[in-house]
Amino acid sequence: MPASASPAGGAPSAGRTGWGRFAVVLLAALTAAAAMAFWTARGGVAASLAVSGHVFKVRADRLEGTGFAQYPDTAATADGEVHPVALTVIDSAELEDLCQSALVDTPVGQATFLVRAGGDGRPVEAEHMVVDMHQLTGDAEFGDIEIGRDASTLVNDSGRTGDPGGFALQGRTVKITGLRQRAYSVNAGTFTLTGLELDLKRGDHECF
Amino acid sequence: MTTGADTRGRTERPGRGRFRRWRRSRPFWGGLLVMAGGTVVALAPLAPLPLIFQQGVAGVSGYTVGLLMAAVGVLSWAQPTQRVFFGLTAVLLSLFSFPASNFGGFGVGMLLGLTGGALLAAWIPGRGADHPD
Repeated sequence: MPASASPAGGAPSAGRTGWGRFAVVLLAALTAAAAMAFWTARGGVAASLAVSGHVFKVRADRLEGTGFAQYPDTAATADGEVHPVALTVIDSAELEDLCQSALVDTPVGQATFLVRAGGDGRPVEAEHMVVDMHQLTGDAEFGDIEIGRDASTLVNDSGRTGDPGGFALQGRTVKITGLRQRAYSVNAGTFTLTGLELDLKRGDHECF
Repeated sequence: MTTGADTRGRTERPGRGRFRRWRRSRPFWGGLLVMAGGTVVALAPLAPLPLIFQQGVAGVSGYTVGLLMAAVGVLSWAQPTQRVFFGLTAVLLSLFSFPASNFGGFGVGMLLGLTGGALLAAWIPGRGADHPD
């Protein structure tokens, strides 16, 4: 009776992996993933993006939007700290040559997570954007702006309002060229990212 | 030095042997990878929850996809007989996580989920192990 016939006599023998089937499923899955990435980059699939936890940078050559509002607020980061922010709401925005970078600590040192999109005259479209802004520079132009509106009376698609009696701005349109922004979080209902490039680079390769 | 090949797996401490038997009687690594992928997808946004809920479906979907992936990983351990179904579900959820949540946790969560899902679907139980007590 050959010993190899029944390993660990009585006990159920170990399960194993059918590597042929594994290869077939993984190959099909990766093909579908590549197609998904391709269509997202072509602007065919709207992606949802929400990054937070620490300050990251956003740069865009031009931002054009409607339904703009801004008021002071606070944002709590993952380390439990509370930071004052200018909460900025834009109902619908187009961004040209968008670059977004976040420096993250990984077990193998610092890495930069980079998103670039909206080049070649096909801007990124964002709906229901809410930004916890830390700092903003750029040349801005507002249409029909109300400065000093009560923060509790703001009207926007995302339904964001501040405290009664608080200071706020509200504008019908906004146009910013040479946008450079540091923010704690950017959330958008949908991002249509045309010409998407995703990069995870070792070291510091931030947008500015 | 005097021990032959036949003592392998029997000289281990009993606790470890039991864990090994448990691990071998189910698609352990596939389930673990899917759980890890789901965790990465769910943690990637790190946005404050009230803000996420304000975003509606789009904001919540990131967490939902991540949690569903983790749940499928756990279920694949509990019910190894359903491995093909769980494997394909994990693959589809991982694909959906790409547009739904930060490009599937910056790609990492999606790739973990895809690999784990393929491992689940490709797992073959050992003889006598299809009906674990």
